Amino acid sequence: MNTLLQLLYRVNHRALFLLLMLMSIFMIVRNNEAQGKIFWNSTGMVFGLFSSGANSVWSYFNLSRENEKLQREISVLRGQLAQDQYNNELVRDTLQKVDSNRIQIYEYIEAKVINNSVDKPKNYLTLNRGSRHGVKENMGVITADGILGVVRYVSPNYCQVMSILHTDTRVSAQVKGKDVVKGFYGSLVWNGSDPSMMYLMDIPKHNKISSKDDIVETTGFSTYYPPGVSIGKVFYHEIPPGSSNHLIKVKLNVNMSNVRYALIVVNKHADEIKQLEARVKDEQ
Amino acid sequence: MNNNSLLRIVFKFIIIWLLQIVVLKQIQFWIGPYHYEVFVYPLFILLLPAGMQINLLLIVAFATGLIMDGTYNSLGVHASSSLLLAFSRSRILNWVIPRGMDESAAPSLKRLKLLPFLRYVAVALLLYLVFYYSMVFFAPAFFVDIIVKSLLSFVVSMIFILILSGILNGLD
Repeated sequence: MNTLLQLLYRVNHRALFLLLMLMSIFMIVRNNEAQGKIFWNSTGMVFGLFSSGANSVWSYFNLSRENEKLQREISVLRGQLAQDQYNNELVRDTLQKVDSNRIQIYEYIEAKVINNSVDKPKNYLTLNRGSRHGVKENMGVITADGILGVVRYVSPNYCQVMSILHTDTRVSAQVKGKDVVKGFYGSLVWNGSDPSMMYLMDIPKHNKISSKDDIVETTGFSTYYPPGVSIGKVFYHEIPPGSSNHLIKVKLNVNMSNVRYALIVVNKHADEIKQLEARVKDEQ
Repeated sequence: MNNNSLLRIVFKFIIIWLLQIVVLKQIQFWIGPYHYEVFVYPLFILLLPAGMQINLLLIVAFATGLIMDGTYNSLGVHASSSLLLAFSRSRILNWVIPRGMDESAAPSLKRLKLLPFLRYVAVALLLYLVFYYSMVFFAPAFFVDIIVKSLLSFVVSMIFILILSGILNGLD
């Protein structure tokens, strides 16, 4: 008892006071309903204030990233424009003949993403362009970074795009080495879980996939996407035991959860190609 | 602190506690819309020996507060108020009687004489009550209620405490 008292005497009395005070205030908040409510409400208010402040700070960070993206998009578009002008000049002045040989197949309609989801097994995006702007069903949608999906439903002002993050998605894609053109193609599918990863299927195992960072791009075999649009990089690949095909995990370039701008691909020959292919189907 | 003085302290505690629980807790004090409580048990903390080791004083006051919380069903409210009272007691004593006093004795009515004792109890009780009602309301928005109730309780509590001090004089 005496040693206990001596131990107690040696403690700093201010520290002891603070400790006991905190204990009693903790008891008040825990055991008295009215005080507890006031306490939790006011701490909630303080934290709410804090988190809304943090939110606005974060949105500023996003702003700069958004700006960067816009700049990039602008630079891409500018580049295309300059190229077009150069080509036209060239064609008009010197190679008159080529003029008729070069026909533009793909045109782009710029659009803004106004709704998006990545958390469901079947995801859709909504864009602010519709039939009034020339959007039709089954047009592909891309961004500066990669591909987004295919237009499914069109209204006068808006369209619904079946995201590539959709379990029914099949995109014809090929692996292109960093330096060499490899050109193995297969179909790109999504397994419904990670919105930054897709799987490239059906590439026979005798093809060599050497580098981890091999680029995966569109083939242009469908009428949806122009050829050579980069989709992502090989993240991981293996040949599952007993399988004759590679299983390739592809890391997407585009962050599907924060896309803001998109380009809708207008394939001017889509109808012609489809009609032609339909005739073959009739035959079968 | 010998056995005799310890016994006196326990005896004082029992008397004060009985008055608080058996009498004062049963009476409803109302003035207009204000319901207030009357406390005499802070006197027990005030009457502990002046030279008592501060940490021991804090523990005793905390325990006293907890016992009161048990009967008033307000866990923590009395404990924190008593703790503050014990913490600031020596400062108030120094302020009221700067020349100091016999350290082993209780700063009672008999030792301090009426006027210094009145000042000592008044300052301590007011501090106690304002803190107590702050803990009861627990929000600065109730500032007016806190002050009004503290003052009402202060007046009536002072009367009871003075009567009780007179009775306890026989124990010194």
